[in-house]
Amino acid sequence: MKLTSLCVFGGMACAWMAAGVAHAQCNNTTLTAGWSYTAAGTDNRGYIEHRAEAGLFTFNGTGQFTLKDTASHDGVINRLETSTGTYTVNADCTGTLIVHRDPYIVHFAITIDVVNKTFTLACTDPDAELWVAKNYKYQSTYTGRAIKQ
Amino acid sequence: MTSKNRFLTMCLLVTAVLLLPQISHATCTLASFSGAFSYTIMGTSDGQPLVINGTLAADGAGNLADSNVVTRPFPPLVVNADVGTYQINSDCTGSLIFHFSSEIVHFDFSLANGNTQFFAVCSDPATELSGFASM
Repeated sequence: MKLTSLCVFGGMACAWMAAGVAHAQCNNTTLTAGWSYTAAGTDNRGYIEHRAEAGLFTFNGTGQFTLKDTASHDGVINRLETSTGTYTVNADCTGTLIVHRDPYIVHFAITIDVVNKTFTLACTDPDAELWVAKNYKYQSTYTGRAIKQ
Repeated sequence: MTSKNRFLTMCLLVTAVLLLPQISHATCTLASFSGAFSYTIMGTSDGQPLVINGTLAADGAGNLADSNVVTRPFPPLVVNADVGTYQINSDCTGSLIFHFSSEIVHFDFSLANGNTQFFAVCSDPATELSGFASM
């Protein structure tokens, strides 16, 4: 019986390790807990707006996150704002983040490096009317990087 | 305890150990931020492009020592040595205050990778500066 248990346990361990070295298989549970990040770039709202921000995503592993960040929009600082969002992670470790910050919604594409526990993010809202209330045209070249805490 | 029960108990323990790091949340204090970091900050300030490269030492008790080189159109190159202070929240975000001879500069930051790296953004008006630091 002891030998059988040892073999079963050893098999489980090998299978778990093999999963780690084989092709990355991701899902929403790949993103859990805190991931610090920064992003920078420009918006086009009829004029070029420079943006920079840094903060903390906290993922729950089931498709929701909270975001706490400080952001500069053309030199106007919004400190320690909090917002919520949803995310989806695909099996190939790409995915999407949707940040809900009233009155606008911002979409990002992400690619996760599971080995180094980082992901890159790029805004995917070209020429969309996100700031509906102000009728701004929003064309972003806004990218960044996150690292797990 | 039978062999079967011992095996099941072992499996539960292994599962718990594997899952624990994923569901735990980082908790930080002043002491979580200590050591020497190299950093690069890029962006614009007062409409001018700006790059800052430097080293930052945090003492784990709220104090900073910093030296850096600022590159910008005019004046083209400035070498600084300054001191500062920092605060850190339990979620491992925090703020940095640098005391230069002519001004005080503020950043918000968030620690990463076991507190060996951080991302930062300047929180002073008329700036769009963000960057990354690593031990």
